[in-house]
Amino acid sequence: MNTQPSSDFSLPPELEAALKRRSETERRQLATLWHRLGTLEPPLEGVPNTEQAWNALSHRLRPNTRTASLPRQRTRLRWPLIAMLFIGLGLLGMFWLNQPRSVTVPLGIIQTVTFDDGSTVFLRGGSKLIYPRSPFSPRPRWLRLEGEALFAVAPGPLLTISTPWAHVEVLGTRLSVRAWPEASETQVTLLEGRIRVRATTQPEHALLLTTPGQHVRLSARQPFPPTPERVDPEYVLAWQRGGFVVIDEPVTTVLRELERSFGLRIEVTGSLPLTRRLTVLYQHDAQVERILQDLCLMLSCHYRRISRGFVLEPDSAAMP
Amino acid sequence: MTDDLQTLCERLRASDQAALGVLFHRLRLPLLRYVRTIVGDGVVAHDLVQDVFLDLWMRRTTLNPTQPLRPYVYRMARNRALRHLRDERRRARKRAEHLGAPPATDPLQPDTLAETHQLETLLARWLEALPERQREALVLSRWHGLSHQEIAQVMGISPRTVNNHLLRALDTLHQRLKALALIP
Repeated sequence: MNTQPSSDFSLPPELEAALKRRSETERRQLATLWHRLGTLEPPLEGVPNTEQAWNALSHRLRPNTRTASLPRQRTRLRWPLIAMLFIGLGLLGMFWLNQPRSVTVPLGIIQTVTFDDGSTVFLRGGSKLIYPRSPFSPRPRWLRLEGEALFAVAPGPLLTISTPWAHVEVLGTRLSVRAWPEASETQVTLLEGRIRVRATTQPEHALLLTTPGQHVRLSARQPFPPTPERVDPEYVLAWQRGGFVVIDEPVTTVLRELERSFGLRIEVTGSLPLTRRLTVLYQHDAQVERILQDLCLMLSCHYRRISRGFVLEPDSAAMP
Repeated sequence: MTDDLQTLCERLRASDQAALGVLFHRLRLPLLRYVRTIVGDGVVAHDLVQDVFLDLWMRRTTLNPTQPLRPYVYRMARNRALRHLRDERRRARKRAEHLGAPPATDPLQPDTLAETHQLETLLARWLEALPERQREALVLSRWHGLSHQEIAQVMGISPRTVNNHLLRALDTLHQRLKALALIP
């Protein structure tokens, strides 16, 4: 092999240049040393010769040409997997977006829900509001209410408020909706602007309310469209200022409303005229004991404090 | 000669297996000798060199024909050998941890003139005792006939440093010979 660039006695040119300053004898000695070093390499032993080694290597090369196609197969298999993963993630995201959100207000307090366009819902204690997540629009297209709430809806696309007995279609307005589960009716009061009300039983007919203070009740019993009454908005919104107002509703509803407004329990023992319809008006600073006193006066009963609330008992005179 | 290697490099890039054969027949023995000086065992060196050629074939498409092929292959072999040494050391350490006791190592024997009268044996031993990089540069230059430029590429240092390594190695050996008055 002709890999040696210089004859055995001569040093590589760079070394030669570096040794120029040394003495002649030292240069000669170093050249001899350099020559000696060349003979020092121990012989290779116990190793396959080149021919055998080449055969072994070409043997290893052959299967490699086959395995060379393996990575491509693996990528081919991987792409659908990645696509499936993305589709799965997309479906999960859509499922998540379709899951409506819900707000349930604890008893005894008032909670506010505000949407991105400034529309606000004031929810009375014990109410539940359900609405879809709408990441692409400032406010959802529909709301579902169980309970009582004041809606202040900013102008914008049509919003439908659904309750068990009524759908209310709103563009930009203020209104109060009262739809407690135990009442089996929905009350809608317009405070500002205009709204369209449909009964869930006859959704093809609509009733347009345009005058503030117009008030309708929808239930299974009443024919549609009901004749709008007029109520004082102050009464309808008394709960917002700490008042307690119930207009023409049965005693059971009044008691439930007391429970929800003040976060306590009211139990009834004995027979009280629970279906009697009442109107209770406390516009400011309603206190539960004063309401109960007045209630007992009307129903001829008395109340007793218990740990979690009150018990109403009929007066012994009223008992047979 | 180098031109020849570069055309082989071109053929390799074009997946010509015969070119690998020519290259193998030309470079296998030098590489084997070189790797043996690093790992110290011929059979291990043989395995490593086989792997080097296999690796060269696998990465044939990434070869650069304008780069000198010989230092490149030497460097591949060197990396592989050093990696092997590192793995060996780690394995030995693991084994030592498992067994609890460190393996007994022979203490370095001082050069005993009484045993070896032969100059060649002495020189070989001193060569072994040289600092690793100096010895490597010397081996590549003397036994493999690589130019300073090529050694620099293989070892990843500058040609100037190669020259310094060589000078220092030669001087050390020279001093030792002189100290024993083996040189007139």
